[in-house]
Amino acid sequence: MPAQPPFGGGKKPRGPSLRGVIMIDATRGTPRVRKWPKKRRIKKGSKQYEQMEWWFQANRMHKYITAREQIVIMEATKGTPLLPRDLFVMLAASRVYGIASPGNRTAYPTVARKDVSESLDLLGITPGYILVRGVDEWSAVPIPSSGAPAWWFNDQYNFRTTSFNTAGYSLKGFRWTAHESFPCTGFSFYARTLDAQPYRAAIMELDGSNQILDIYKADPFTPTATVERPYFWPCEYDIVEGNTYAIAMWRTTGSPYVGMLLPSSTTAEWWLPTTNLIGVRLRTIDPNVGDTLLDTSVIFTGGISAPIATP
Amino acid sequence: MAKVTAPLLSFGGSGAIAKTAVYATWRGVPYVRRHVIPANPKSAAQTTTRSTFAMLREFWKLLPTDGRAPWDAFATGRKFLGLNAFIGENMRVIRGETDMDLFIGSPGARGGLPPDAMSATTGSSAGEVDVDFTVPTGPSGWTLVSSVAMAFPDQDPSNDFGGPIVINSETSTPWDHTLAGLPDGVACQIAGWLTWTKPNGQTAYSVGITDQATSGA
Repeated sequence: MPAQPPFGGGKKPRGPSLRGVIMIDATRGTPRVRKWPKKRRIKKGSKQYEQMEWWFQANRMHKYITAREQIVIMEATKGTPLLPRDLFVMLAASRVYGIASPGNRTAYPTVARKDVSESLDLLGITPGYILVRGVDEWSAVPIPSSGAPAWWFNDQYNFRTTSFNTAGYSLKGFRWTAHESFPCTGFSFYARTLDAQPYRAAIMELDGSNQILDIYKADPFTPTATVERPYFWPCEYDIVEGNTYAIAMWRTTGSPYVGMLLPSSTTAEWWLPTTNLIGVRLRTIDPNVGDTLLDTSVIFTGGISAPIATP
Repeated sequence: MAKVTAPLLSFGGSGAIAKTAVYATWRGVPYVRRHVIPANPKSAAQTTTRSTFAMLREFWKLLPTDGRAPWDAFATGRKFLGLNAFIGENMRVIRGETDMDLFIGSPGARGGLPPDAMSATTGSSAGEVDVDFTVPTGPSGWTLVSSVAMAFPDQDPSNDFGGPIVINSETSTPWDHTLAGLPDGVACQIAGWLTWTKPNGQTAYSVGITDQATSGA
């Protein structure tokens, strides 16, 4: 029969020891008595020591900030479970946090506002712009002098040009109803890439059945690699409150074709692929500022899909 | 070193056992540690630490009550004395230095507000240093009790402390001090802090601000 271990089996057999004082165990089958072994410390990494030192210094630093700042922090933590030192360390760490107060109100620090603001800067950094939810994502758009967009996009719509084109080609573009009158001095199309072919764009007034009542066509434009987006066309066209308008952009098959909307033209033309067109924006002159140009339009996403076959 | 709850199956124990374990207590906390014979290499670093420790120990002995008060307040309710805090905090910053510019006069206790500014200049008479304070307006319910200024000749922390320590407490505006009794025309370290009474009646001490000036010649 094999020899039995002195204190039974198990991973670390131990005899009757006094915890923390004396340990009675066995080594190589021989019982022994020794001082309770010291707990070995886990070696900390350099990053952990760095964090510990930062924490130590941040807590110390609270005592050395000016009295005025200490008073502000004291007032901010009055009635809360936070100590002024805790709040200061949070500020030093640029943590986003809020202090919940009675009445389900939460107070956020100024540094949190800055963090959120910097995140929103990814969408746009131009002063005076607002955020608008498009079809796919949020976009930053300008605020007109009246404080609200002068027009906005209703929906993507098919509208026909049968009144001007005997071939009956369909146009697709962006339609909206104007909520205030303003002179349109130009429009920009936002697109990712365009072929090096002539393009035209037009802004038109529609009736209730999407028939074109009036149209302004911009001059042809051929994008090149050096042209920066957005592609801007100047124009002189008055937008009247209450009317329905549409705006479209298309590629002509060559130069100097002026586009299918001319009554005399019967040339087939192709629409801009959906994936390229991002949105369009109108431009006007802010009456309060004078000659300064101010974008009044709303960016909307979603492109023009493939042309509809003629009926 | 391990803390123990019932050393040697008794209520308390102290002393070495078979030159292997040593039972002792520290500030009422019993512990046991391995019996060691220190190597005592007497290296330069070890010698510097010991001499700085000895200097701070002497400094504390000569420190008047007004100078000890913030340290004692800092240690209240903790398992160490103001002396331990004074030596520990100052050892951390002045060990290895050649002067006492980083000396900490007050660790701050109970959230005392620091002065907005403190400046030390050479006094008009021999052995004098003038200290001016700019004090903040405390929050409602707080009362500024005094401004405290302390001065001593600057020296290498690893040398024996030569003294003297001059300390003054000013209890009314303009909260400025003239510290006399210093050696003539020597570079001095000046530490200053404020003492407040909080709405709950506690006395709070601000952290100490340090400046340097030469005493009047």
